Amino acid sequence: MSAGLDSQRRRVGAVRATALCYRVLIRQIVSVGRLAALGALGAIMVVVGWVVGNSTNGGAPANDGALYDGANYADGFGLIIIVPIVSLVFAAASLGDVRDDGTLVYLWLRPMGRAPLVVAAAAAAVTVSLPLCVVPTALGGWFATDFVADSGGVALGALAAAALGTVAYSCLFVLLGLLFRKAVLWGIAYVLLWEGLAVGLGDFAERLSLRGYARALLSRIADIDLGFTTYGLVTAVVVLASVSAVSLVLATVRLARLNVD
Amino acid sequence: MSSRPRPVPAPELDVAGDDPASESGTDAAPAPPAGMVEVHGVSKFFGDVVAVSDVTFAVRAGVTALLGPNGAGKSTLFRMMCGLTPPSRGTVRVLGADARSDRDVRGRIGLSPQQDALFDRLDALEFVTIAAATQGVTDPEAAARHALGIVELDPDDHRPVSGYSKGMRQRTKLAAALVHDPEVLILDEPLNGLDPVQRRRMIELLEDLGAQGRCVLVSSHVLEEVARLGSRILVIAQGRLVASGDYRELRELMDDRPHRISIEADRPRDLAAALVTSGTVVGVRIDGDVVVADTLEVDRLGREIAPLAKDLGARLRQVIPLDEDLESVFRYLVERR
Repeated sequence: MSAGLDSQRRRVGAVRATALCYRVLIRQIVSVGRLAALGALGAIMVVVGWVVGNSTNGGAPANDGALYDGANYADGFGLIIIVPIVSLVFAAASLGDVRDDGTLVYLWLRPMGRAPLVVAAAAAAVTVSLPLCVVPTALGGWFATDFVADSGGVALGALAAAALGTVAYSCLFVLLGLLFRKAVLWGIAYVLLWEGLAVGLGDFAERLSLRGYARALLSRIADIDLGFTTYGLVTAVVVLASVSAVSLVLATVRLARLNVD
Repeated sequence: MSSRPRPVPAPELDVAGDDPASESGTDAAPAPPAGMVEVHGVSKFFGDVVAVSDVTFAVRAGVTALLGPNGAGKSTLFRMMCGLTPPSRGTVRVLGADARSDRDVRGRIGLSPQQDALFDRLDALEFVTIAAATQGVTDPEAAARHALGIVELDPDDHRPVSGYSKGMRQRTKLAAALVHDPEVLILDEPLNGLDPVQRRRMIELLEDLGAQGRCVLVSSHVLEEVARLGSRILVIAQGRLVASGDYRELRELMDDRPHRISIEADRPRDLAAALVTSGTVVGVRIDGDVVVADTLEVDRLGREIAPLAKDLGARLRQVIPLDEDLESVFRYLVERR
């Protein structure tokens, strides 16, 4: 071994830094086990949606009840379970895993800002989570309508709600992964206890939940009243986008102050 | 570094050693240390646990070893130098800047951390290429191939690093640490897991890097390992800097301490009395057939024990040192403070 190093170097810009970190993190968070387990969950939602669609309507004429059933199913299975759980698994892992296993140092001790690393983590999580959330939620909701007239609105609403919900949850859970070790456990507690249960308590609780805004999106696009929801499409989009942005900013601040192993 | 190592007030120690006041150990008020790496009055607490306590030193170009037992605070010091964790008190500067807040200086440091973890889905070339790219190297793959060549790893071995041996992982980490040609290399236990041949080559590489004007900091808990590095040594124990010097000086210091020897023989009482009478021991204790002797002259004891036993008609069964482990050396240094 003898050293003869003469590397030429340039400043690493934010876009390049983000792309480099994304390239590493997306390979770190994807595993066959995760994809299989969460893909199976999505498949179950689609199959159950198809069963729901056939059993509730049973070939009956199209009606608002079928649309409601479809939207309600997309909300109850997709937005309550699939979207937050899938986002949690990948987003909490994106920086949480590398922090826990000690590899974060290989991205942290670099002449780069902290924001690109956080944005890359969120982008990696969204990339993997999006198809796993959007496809089953939209298909499951659509199947549950038994394809009655205007059922496309339910599918579109479910798709939009799942997509924006996935982005917002992913950003939030990237932050969670930096705040707590074993972030998945904390995240599940949050999803089940707050997003799942507390939201059913009324309007005020719903205002403080991501699910409430995702559900508003579904409700407005599908034009179906799912209860509680009182705010409009723009409000839902703005709130979900704002939560995403604030989470990323807080995660950046947290990353800069982190004790890295 | 020509003076004897001081086991005690190390706070103003200058390892680079051209500060006459600090080298002579005078009581003059010390100036803050100056060097490529400067650690001044640094302490680090984790809750009630003191990991590092009021450590001051400066390191310039060349190879410097941090020697200390596991848990002594070496890795914590390295983490503070790299900005991975802030000191609770004091200041740490690398090339005049705080790596925690100064983005540019982070690009002038190469770190090989103690932990084995790598991005396990990547192969070595990908791992080192990513390291080069994130450091802003203009041709990351070429630099990565070169760095892997330096540590004698095959860049075309496309197995993921999860399948690598510990030694190969160490060398991958080292390649990633030096791929961007850093001025300061911080290597936490880099010789762990290497076989003797790799170890010798790694030591040659580190010496080569130091000779090129880089500041190479290496930690180890193995004294003989550090001896082969031929470097300056900072001895860290219980979070404190307890001694410094080169290996020879440190070895002499360690030889000054009382050594405890276990001597198993028949007629242990007679043998103990003869040892005390001969003046080769400063204390003895008898434990069954075993004489436990404290001596300041371990070589003389070694020479005289057999003739003494022969004169007494006693048969020696075993003579073993009880405190040759590094822990006991560190304990001695700490207690002398």
